[in-house]
Amino acid sequence: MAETFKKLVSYSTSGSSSTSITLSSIPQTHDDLFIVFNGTGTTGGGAVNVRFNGDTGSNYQVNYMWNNASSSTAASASSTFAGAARIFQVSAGVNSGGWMYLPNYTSSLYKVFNSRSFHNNINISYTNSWRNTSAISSMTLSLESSSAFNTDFRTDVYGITKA
Amino acid sequence: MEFTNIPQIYTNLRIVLQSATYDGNLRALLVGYNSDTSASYSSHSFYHNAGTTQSTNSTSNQWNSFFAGGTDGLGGQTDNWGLLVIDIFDYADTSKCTSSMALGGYVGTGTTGTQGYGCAIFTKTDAVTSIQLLPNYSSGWRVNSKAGLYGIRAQNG
Repeated sequence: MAETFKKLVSYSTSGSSSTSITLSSIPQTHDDLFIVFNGTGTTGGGAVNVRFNGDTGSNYQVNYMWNNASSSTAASASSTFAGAARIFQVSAGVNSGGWMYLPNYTSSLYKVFNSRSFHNNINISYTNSWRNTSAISSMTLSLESSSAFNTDFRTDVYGITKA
Repeated sequence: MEFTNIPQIYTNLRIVLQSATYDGNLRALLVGYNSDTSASYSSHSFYHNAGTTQSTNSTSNQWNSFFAGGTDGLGGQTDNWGLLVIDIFDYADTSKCTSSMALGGYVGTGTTGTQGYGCAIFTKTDAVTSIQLLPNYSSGWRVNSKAGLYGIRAQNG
C-alpha cells in the first residue's frame, strides 16, 4: 500500500491575481492525483471549472449537491457547463477551500473525479467525469465569472502511487 | 473484491473504487470487514438521484452500505463509471468500533447520475484485517472495475 502523498507542484498567485491556473506536464508516473485549493476571488463570487488537456469540447459531465443554512440543490447536467467541469466556487473576501480526487488519471477509461469544498457557508460536493480516454497531462482551473483568483489563492497537487 | 492481510501499521485506510455493474442502474456498495456477516453494521447516506435528494439508513445489517454511487454505470472504456472514495478510521484500534465515511457518485449521460456521501460503523472492536467489497447486484463487477487500498499514517500516530 502507498502510505504518503507526494507533492508534485504548488501554485500560488504570489502577489498578482490570475483568471486561470494551468498545471502542465503532469508526471504520468502516479496512479491518482489529489488537488487541494484554498483562497478567495477578487470580485463577487464565481464558479471554478476544470479542463483537462486543453479540451474545451462538450465532454464533461457534472453531478453535484450543495446546501446552505436553508436550502439545498442537486443535479446532474451535461450541457450546463459545456466545455468544462465545475468543481468549486470562490468569493471575494470570504475564504473558500476544498479538494479534488482524480483516480486513474493515466488510464484509457473515461475519467471520473470527486471534489468537496466549502464556499461562503455553502457545502458543495461534486462527482464529475471527463468523457475522454486520453491520459491527463495538464489541467486548467478557470473562473466562469469576471472574477479572478486573488493573491492569496493556492493550489497544491499531489501524486499518489499504489504499492 | 477483497483486500486481505491488511498490515496493522497505519492509522487510517482509504479505498478508491472506480467501478461498474452489468445493469447500469443505481446500486449500493456493500462493505464488510473480516468476512463478518453478523448484524453488526449501520450506515447512513445522503445523496441525489437524477436531481432528487434522498437519504437512507440501515442498522444492524450484515454490511455497511453506501448509496453514494460507486457501483453504477456501464463500465466499457468509453462508458460511464462510478467513483467512491471511502475513508476508514482507526481500523487497527481494538478499543473502538470501526467507523468510515464515503464520498462519490455515478456520472451518467444527460441528467442521469447520483452523487452524495455517507457514514457507517462496524459495531465491533476487532482490528480490521480484511475488507470485502461487493455491489448489491448478483452479476457482480463489470470488467475493468478496480479498487485501490491506501494506508495513511499519522506523523505522531
